[in-house]
Amino acid sequence: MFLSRIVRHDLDSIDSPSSMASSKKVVTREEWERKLRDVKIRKEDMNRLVMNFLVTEGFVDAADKFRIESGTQPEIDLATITERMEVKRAVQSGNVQEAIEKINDLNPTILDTNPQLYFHLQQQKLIELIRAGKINEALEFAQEELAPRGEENQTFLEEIEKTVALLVFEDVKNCPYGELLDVSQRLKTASEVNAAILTSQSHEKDPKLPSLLKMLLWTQNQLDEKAAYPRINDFTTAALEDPSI
Amino acid sequence: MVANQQAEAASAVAPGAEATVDPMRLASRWRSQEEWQRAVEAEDEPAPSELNTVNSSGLFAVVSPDKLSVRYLSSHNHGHDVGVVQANCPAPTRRAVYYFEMGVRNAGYKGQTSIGFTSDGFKMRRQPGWESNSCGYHGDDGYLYRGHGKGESFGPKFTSGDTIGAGINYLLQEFFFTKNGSLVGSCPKEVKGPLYPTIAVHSQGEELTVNFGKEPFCFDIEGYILEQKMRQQSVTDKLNLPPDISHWIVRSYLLHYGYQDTLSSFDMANTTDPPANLQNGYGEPPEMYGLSHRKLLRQFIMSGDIDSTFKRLGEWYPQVIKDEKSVICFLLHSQRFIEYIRAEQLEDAVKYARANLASFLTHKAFEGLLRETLAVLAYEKPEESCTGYLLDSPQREFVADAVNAAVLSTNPAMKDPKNCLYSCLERLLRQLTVCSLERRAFNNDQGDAFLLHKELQNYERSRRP
Repeated sequence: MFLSRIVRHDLDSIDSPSSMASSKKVVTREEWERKLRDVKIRKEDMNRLVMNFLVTEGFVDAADKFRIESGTQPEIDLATITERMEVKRAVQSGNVQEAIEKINDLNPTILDTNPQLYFHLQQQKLIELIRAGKINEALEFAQEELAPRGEENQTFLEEIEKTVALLVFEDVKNCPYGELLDVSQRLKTASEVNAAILTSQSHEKDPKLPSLLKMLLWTQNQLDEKAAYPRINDFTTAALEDPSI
Repeated sequence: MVANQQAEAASAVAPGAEATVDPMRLASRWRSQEEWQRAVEAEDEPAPSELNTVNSSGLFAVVSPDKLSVRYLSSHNHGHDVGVVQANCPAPTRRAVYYFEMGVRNAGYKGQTSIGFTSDGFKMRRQPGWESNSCGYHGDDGYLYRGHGKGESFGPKFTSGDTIGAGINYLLQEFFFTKNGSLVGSCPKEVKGPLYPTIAVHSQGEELTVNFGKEPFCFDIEGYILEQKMRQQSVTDKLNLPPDISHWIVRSYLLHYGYQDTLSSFDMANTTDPPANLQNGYGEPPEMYGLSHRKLLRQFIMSGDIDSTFKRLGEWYPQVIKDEKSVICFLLHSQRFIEYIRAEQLEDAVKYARANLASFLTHKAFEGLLRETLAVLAYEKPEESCTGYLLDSPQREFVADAVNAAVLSTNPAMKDPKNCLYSCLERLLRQLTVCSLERRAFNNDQGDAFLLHKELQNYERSRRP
């Protein structure tokens, strides 16, 4: 009786430090691979995920080919992608007026219901005028079209001030707001336009795939707290790495 | 349907299957639409549907015959004659949120009705919240009670005509309560173990009805769940992915399955469209191998032309069909048979089955699948039968994927045979599913787990106007 108690006590004390040090459950590669194998994933669902990516990112030709090759129906009319991409391309190449007209052809409520988008497009138009060196035209446009918008909204006003400041610098490289003339500013406006059109077509503005990849990052991080298991660290190879114990 | 289990069992012993790549593993895709639906619903545990009439304080209250309402019978003399009733089973946990509502039909003499959650051994004569293993929102003072007789200021009082809701948010580990469709507030869920939806009456004339979801809820629970999901997504959205990783994964998917035309258009768009111009130094995926052959083989199978598939395989990759008893041969012969049925050439189908399929019946591994395939013959309208899904195009695609995997496996440079079966995207999705299930297991089985099929269904649903 006594002896067994002592023995058990000893065992406990041997046990506990190690279990304290790593209370994490260890899942071996073999066990993990069995679990991976048991997952049921439908090919059609993966196809839909890929189609969703092609459609949302505007790969219209690829989406059409994928429809034929995989038999997956796109979630929206592919013709609307073409129109959306034309608008996007117009902004990217600096033809803001053309973009505005195309958006209104597509759906006149888009700009009416998105004052911020409309403002950013007008701001982009001003930027393009300044870039083209059309100083008078730029000034006129700023005074007639943009200034009234600044009166309604403090953020708009600040944006206008930054943009107009570009005019004052002979060499815009010295202007603290010079990045407005970067290609990245066009891309930013273009992706805002893209998102607004998708939303107007009751389509999510972002493809699903990246958010699932982020979910994988997050879930692996969360699981790290509880267990040591084979992780995937390199998403391009999706190779399992042995758990570090 | 037994075919799946047999298909999976087959993967262990299929004769002639190369030791490295076993296309039978893809056979978990060999299932009907209904089976997929069941796989998703298997997540759903039993949910409360009515009040428990056995374990209730029968002395003090009476539950109606439809088991969806309760009325106080006693005269309220002290704190131990509460008419408290639990639901017939605990709230399910494998979901983001559980929620139910009660309607106060009559607030009675003192309006001491309440709603909340109680655990297994709860004293069935006390208000939810008064005991340590419970939590409740009370109508007479609008207080929240969590574990003792003293409540804390929480929300408005409630009375006759009000609809009160109680829920468990498993993501945040919170209880929350609503009144007439508006959120009242929440508190940390400190009670462990299975929790029963619970309502109570405690003065003359008090009467409550309960709604476990059979009727539409007063509170917009769908909107609430969506909000919770968005909140969680905004956390994960902050994480950074390697640049253009989605493009890379989509591209390697197209390569893996030999969707060559899509791939060309995709690559073309990426070179002409500057923002997506992504020469990102990841290098070429290992799946360029046999691309144009694999594309053609897929086209043949998808159009039902199995004869050409055999012919071309014999020319290009004879090793794949060398063993006549191999999985690939079995799948192709079965598909040829199915194509005869599709074309309504029943005599040819029978002739073909005798010549090419009968011998597979002696192989345990194929027996189940084969029986199911042959059963198609028995129906006048096979497409409406329980094996009718074999006539659908996903079955063609399954065979095409198996052939694709077999061809990929002939690549001497392919190091890991698993990579022949599963694309990079599929391996990532499998990892996500397992991680998510494991994480939930650590969390006492609480919360929803990732299932691609369910995820896409929810997505479709959210897009419907």
